[in-house]
Amino acid sequence: MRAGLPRRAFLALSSGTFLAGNLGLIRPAVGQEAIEEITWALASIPETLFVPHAWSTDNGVIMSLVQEGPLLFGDDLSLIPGPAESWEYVDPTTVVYRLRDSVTFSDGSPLTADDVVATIKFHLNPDNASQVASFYSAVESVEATAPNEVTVKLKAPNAQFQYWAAHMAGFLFKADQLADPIDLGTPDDIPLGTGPYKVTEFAPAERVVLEARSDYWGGAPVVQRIVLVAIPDAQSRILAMQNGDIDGTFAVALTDLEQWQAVENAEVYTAPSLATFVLTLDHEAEPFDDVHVRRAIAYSVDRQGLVSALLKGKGEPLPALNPPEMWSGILTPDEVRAFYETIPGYQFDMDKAREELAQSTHPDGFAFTAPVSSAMPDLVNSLQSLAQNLAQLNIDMTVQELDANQWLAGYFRHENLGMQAMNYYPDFSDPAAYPYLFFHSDNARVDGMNASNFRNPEVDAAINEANENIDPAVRAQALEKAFKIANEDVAVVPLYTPYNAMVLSDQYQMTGYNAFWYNIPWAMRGFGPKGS
Amino acid sequence: MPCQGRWSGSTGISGRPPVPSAVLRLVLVRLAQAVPLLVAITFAVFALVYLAPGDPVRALLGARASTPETVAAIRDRYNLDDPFVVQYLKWLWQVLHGDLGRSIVGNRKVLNVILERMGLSLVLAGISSLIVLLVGIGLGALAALRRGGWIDRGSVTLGVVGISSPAFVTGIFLLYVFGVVLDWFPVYGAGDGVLDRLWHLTLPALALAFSVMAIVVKITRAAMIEALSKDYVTFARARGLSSRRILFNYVLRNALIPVTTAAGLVVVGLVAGSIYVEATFALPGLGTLTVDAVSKRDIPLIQGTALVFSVFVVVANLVIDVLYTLIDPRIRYGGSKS
Repeated sequence: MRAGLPRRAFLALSSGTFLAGNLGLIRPAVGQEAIEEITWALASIPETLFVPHAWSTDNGVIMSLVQEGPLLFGDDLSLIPGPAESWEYVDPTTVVYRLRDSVTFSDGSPLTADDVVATIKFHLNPDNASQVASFYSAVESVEATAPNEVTVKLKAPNAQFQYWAAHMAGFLFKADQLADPIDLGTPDDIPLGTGPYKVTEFAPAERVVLEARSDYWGGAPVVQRIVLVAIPDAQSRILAMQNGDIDGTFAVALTDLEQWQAVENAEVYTAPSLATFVLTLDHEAEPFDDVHVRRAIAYSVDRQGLVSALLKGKGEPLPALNPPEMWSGILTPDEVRAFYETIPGYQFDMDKAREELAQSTHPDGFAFTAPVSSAMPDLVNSLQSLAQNLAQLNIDMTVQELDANQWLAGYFRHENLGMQAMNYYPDFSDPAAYPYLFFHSDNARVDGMNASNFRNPEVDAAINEANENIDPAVRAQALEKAFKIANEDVAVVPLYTPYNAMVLSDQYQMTGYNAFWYNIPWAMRGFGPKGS
Repeated sequence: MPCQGRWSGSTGISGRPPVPSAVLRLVLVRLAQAVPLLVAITFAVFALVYLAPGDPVRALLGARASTPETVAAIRDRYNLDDPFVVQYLKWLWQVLHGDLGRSIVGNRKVLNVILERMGLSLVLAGISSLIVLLVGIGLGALAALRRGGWIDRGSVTLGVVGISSPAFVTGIFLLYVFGVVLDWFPVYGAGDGVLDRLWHLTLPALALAFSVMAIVVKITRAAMIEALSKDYVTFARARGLSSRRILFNYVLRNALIPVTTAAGLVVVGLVAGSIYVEATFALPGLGTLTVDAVSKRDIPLIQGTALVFSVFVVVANLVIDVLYTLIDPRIRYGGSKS
């Protein structure tokens, strides 16, 4: 075990977060005026509302209004109190959550510590095939230490564990419902939650109707009724918005941005997604086992050009794996950008690419095929742009578009990896999250994210240190070391981070749109009549 | 299939209904034949899904980080690690007990999911068929009667435009004109209640019908032109029958036989077209369900929808063959003589 913080430092840290939470980050009522009903379009309505068996952004948009974890994500993506009014690390491997007295499920029954324990134990039991079980990998045991107190013991200190409590992986269920989960999530057995809304109608794949709860612990919602409908086709969504049939949608692709902006009664909102778009290069097979080949590729990516052309400027080129905002709580975005200046960033430069290739074992070029998911058009276009640049180096790159599932299954089969194009949207904002997935040797395996087969004991050690500490200074230092080595060795070729976009009727406004739009009670985040 | 050569003689048909027991026997024999056919189809679909690259577990987990235990538990829950034949037999055994299993994505009873979606698809297919038959046969007949006139040229042109524009393009066009600009019809969704549903399904049914109508128009037109030139029509005219009676009892009735044959194509066209139309108009029907199931490699759901579509095609063809015997009593099945 690595040296963590002394107990007092833990207390200081957690109560600091607690204060931030009380400074009004939850603002359900924007004005006095209530809104009777809004209609919201999603690309799809799920077949089940049981998140542990259908972990998707569409399900998150719906159920984040109905269910809550013990904590919530604030507008600034930090953890803020929710049904648990406080949480505390009594030592680096023990967390205690204290529940509010006034929290009830929508059937009127109170939230108890037993419900929280039952929820965590459900995910820990492999027989339940919970899709979010990985959030609980660090848990040693969980018990109700008082009627309103839950104590979680960890196997080892783990800085990333804390986020389960605000993520949809931590949605609290009523213990009775989890006792017989076979039909949970279907229209016959809709999950109850402690959130601001309750489900009053669920037609799978078609629509969900939510009613506001006047007895919500955080105050009654402004919007009384929310009708969520599935409109799979992007053009049909635009027409529905133009016609005033829907009041907004989160399903806005950057490629359609200009069309959305042309809709008169609608306003487009954008926000950094914190997603990372990268190329992985298999370090254990030719030709990418040669660092000079990898550097030649890295120099050949015109990141700025891709952001301007593909993302219409709604994004930022990435010199390293983490978008700057992903370091929040450890370094400010400006500090991150300054740090990124000090490590090799491989700015687009075909002359340098040529020099690197000349030093490699393939000075005369080579041919390869890069598979890519047809469901990720931005990545398809990025690869095609790269292929054109590589042709100047006599590298013959073929872009092979595959069906999404076929490509994904191939990625995680972890064979014949070559070059892969991957994107990852964050589950929480922690600077060690992406490095652990893409740089750590733990994940250079079947079903693992590290498709570069990047294995470096120093980087592993640094990531472990950042994972097992919550002292920001210690974490920053460890991660800076990991990033420096990873960039020198071209562990991945970072491309860019795009913005997310949503559309809202110009009658309304919303102030809390952020990277976790699918994991916050969005209709409670500064949502109200325009000008209020 | 009926032998079409046999009715090309010079006498038209106007006759008596077929013997009911022959129709009943036809239905029973065909249903018995359908059982091995359905087993073969579902086995073939199962084999194709099994052989196709992809993994249902990945459809569930996406690119998310997952523990090996989670992956193992999901594989175990849906028998994904069993040998191929064992997986199929387990599925077949369930089906014989009236259970289509549970979907992988959503963990819902496949039968419930299909039943929820089927109503909408049947209504959509029904309205579209009605439009295709009424408008298609009507236009085809008019074109034949006014051969070379503007109706003829117009309906043929319309048919060509229809068959060459994909249903989703027609759909977006109709949505824009009638949904947004004129605001006569709703832009998305399936509606509640009978009238509201009809109102919601009008544009999708039109889009769907438009894409397959050309087949019916062209075949009706050709068959009508041929029937009009037959001797029995000349005879009927010579006997002084009213032109209305000649048209409906002689010409149209004989012309309908090839149109009935084309109905099989129309059914297939409607099933294929419904996939696009359902997505464009945000209708949760069987078409979108199938596409979703395939893209997510949701084996139990793919098997269930394949079974339903196969049964639908078998039943539709049976109905068409029964219709033959009603239209043309000379056609006898099972070896009877004419």
